[in-house]
Amino acid sequence: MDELNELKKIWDRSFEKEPVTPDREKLFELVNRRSSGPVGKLKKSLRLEIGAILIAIPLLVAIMFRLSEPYFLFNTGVLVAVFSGSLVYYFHNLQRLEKIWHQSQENIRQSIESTIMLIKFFRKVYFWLNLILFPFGIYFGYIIGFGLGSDGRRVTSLPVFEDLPLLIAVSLIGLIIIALFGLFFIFLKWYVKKLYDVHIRKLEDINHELTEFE
Amino acid sequence: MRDKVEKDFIETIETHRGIIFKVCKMYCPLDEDCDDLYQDIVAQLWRAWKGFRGESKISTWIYRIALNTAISGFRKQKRNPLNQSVSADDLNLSQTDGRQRKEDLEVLHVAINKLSEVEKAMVMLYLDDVSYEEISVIMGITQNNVRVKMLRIREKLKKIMELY
Repeated sequence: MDELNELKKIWDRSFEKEPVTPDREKLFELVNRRSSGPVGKLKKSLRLEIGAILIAIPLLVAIMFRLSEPYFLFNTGVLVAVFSGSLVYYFHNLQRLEKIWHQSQENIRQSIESTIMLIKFFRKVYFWLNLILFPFGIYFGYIIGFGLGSDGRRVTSLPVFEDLPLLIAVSLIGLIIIALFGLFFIFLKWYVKKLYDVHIRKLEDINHELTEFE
Repeated sequence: MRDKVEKDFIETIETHRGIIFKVCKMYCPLDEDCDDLYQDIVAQLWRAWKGFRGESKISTWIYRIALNTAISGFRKQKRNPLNQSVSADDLNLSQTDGRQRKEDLEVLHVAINKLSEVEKAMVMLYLDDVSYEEISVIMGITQNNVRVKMLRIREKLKKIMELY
């Protein structure tokens, strides 16, 4: 292995000097730093979702006390239940991530396979949970805007639709909802792809290269 | 208790700093990404530290986590190292080191940058005198696969070094 031996001589020479390492204080700082690896990024995404829900839930509870009409009480209660359920699910996945990460440190191949599996799983969870929560998010906006705006009275019509026949008004609202949902679907697909797909492809290539002669 | 664990960990890092430094130089030899990678590796080692039960050699464990962090991280290279000139500081050399040595190191870095992520890991382990058996444990592939890959890497390096 002449080429490797030649390279080895150069390699050994280039590390003859002891590398300069950060002092102890710096190392103590580093051990408390959050990781920016793939699992760290997934955890960051989960923490963002958890943060948003943690803001929404107390807000909804406060609204429940302010809006006395049973209609709003019931619907806001449903939203609180849905968001709380998501919160539990996100927390569960956050813990799962940590556990799987520790189990996956056997060797590089196993770690790469686990990371691919994890990212794919979270890509799916992130996509579907956001898609499911989207209509609830819109409804959250409705409660905030119209519930509080109309001082707790149920809003049965909007001025813009008042002059339209009922069928057209309903169709129009339906179309707006479908368009909003469609746009959100496209955006979410693009966003999830941008966040995870390039990295998944890179890891799959590495895994393929590792295992090609197995 | 945590202080003791942290102290033990930092002592281990200081003892084996050469491994982390080499992985950093292998995966981002010239640019500022090296600092980010160093910090990432130390952070990952710390997270895994509580799970280390001494079943493998400490150096094997450090190689595994450090290489894994370098290979599977989300880092983007800010600049293309091939377009940069090699400075003495980059290579941890004093100004008095000879021109021949700098040329040698340029060959080393050009060769390394032509390798894939997996090949870089294997070459690094080979250059650090890690046995094929240990390479296969760290990489999670068979020893036969290690041999085949090393042969292929040798062919690749031969072509690169002939061109240079």
